[in-house]
Amino acid sequence: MAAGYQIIDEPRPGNLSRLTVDPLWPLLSFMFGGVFISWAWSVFNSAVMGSPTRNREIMAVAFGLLGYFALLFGMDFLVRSELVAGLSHSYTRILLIGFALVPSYYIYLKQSAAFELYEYFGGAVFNGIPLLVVAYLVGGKLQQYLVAAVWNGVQPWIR
Amino acid sequence: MDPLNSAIERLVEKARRQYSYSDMAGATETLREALSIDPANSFLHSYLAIGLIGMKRLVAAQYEARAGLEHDPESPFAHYALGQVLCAKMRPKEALAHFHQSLELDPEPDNGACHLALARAYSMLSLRDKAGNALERALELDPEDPDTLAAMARWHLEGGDRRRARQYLREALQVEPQHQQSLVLMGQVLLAEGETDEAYDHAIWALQQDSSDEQALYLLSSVKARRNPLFGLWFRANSWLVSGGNSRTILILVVGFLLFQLTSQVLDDTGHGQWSSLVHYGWLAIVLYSWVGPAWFQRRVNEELKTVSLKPGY
Repeated sequence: MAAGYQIIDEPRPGNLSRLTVDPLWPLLSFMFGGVFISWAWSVFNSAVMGSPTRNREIMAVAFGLLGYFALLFGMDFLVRSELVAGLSHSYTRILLIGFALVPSYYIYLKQSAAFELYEYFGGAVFNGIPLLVVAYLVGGKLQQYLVAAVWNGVQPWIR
Repeated sequence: MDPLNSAIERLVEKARRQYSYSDMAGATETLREALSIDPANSFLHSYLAIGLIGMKRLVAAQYEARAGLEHDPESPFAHYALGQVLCAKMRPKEALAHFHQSLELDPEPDNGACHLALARAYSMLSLRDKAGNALERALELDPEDPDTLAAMARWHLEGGDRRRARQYLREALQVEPQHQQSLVLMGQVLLAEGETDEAYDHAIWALQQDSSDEQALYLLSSVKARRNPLFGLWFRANSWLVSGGNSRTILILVVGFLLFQLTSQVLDDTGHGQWSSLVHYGWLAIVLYSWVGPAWFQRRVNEELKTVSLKPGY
């Protein structure tokens, strides 16, 4: 990174900065491994790159998680109560994907600006393909595990 | 002379030259070096803010402009720089207050650059008469300033008077035949009048001087879009999408995706599976087009840029 006076929007890379990838890869992992692995990778990428907007990115993931589960439980309530005729969990899946795309795109756009500067100052960039393969292999299981854990944890409170 | 001050003066002069060659990144580095020597220098912060606007780093530009003002609240240049940042952030009302403050504080109250900036802020607020008055004042102060003449041309162009716009642009180009802004604006006027080949020439002339000029690149892309309506459609759609900022772009893309998925699901659930397939084919066509369209378009523009850079004397 540039020596001397630091301009506020410039990344401040840490010791693991060599693991920084183009933010497009965590966004692509949404498609291959699901939303949770994508968000986790985005937050990790933000931290290792030293993104100046990392707090906002973490907040986006936190709100994303809250919204995701609120939508999941809300839709489950609507489907089970049969308040809306013909509503099934196919719609839940679609709405969850649509909702989860918003924080993902937001993080991508924020990180892209920082990544351009990171590259401009000669920061090392890691190839995202091997990590994308890992995301593909473990993402689905991580998603199942997390949803099941939250579902089982919350069910006793809402019954 | 204090050696530190003389070092800063040399760096400021270097940054001034870099700005005049549109080397914003180079000027930023030079001013960073100067700020490492004197981090409390109001002028350096404000001058850096001007370069950061050129690099579209508006968060940093605003931070630097505010730092400049904090270090010297009575500096006309610090108010001018903050006004410019606020204009770039589409906050013309706040910008106006700083431009007025700058004019009040300036020992030479008739600062042409500040009148030009005022005109820009008024135009953004759709106060055309006030913008026109500010431009007239700037023109009175320096009737041969190509920047003012180009701004006057833009004002007429926005009012739909292409004839007057052309007249001012001719004047600007007579004063300075290579005036970048005037070349691009003249290209826009010519394109609006259907003179595509002449518009193309102006885009190329502008790019030969500065191949990174965004407005010139946009003009060249507009000419390409006009010449090929099918792929030009992508350019127009993309221009419209990005014109509203990131949040609107994300919202439109996600709503589009949701509409497609929900329509398809509703059609399946109501026993209209054949229509659902049609929706899927339509979506596939949009995806393919938005994949091939930009790549093809970019390739054509890049081919043009290669010929620009190969021209003798470039």
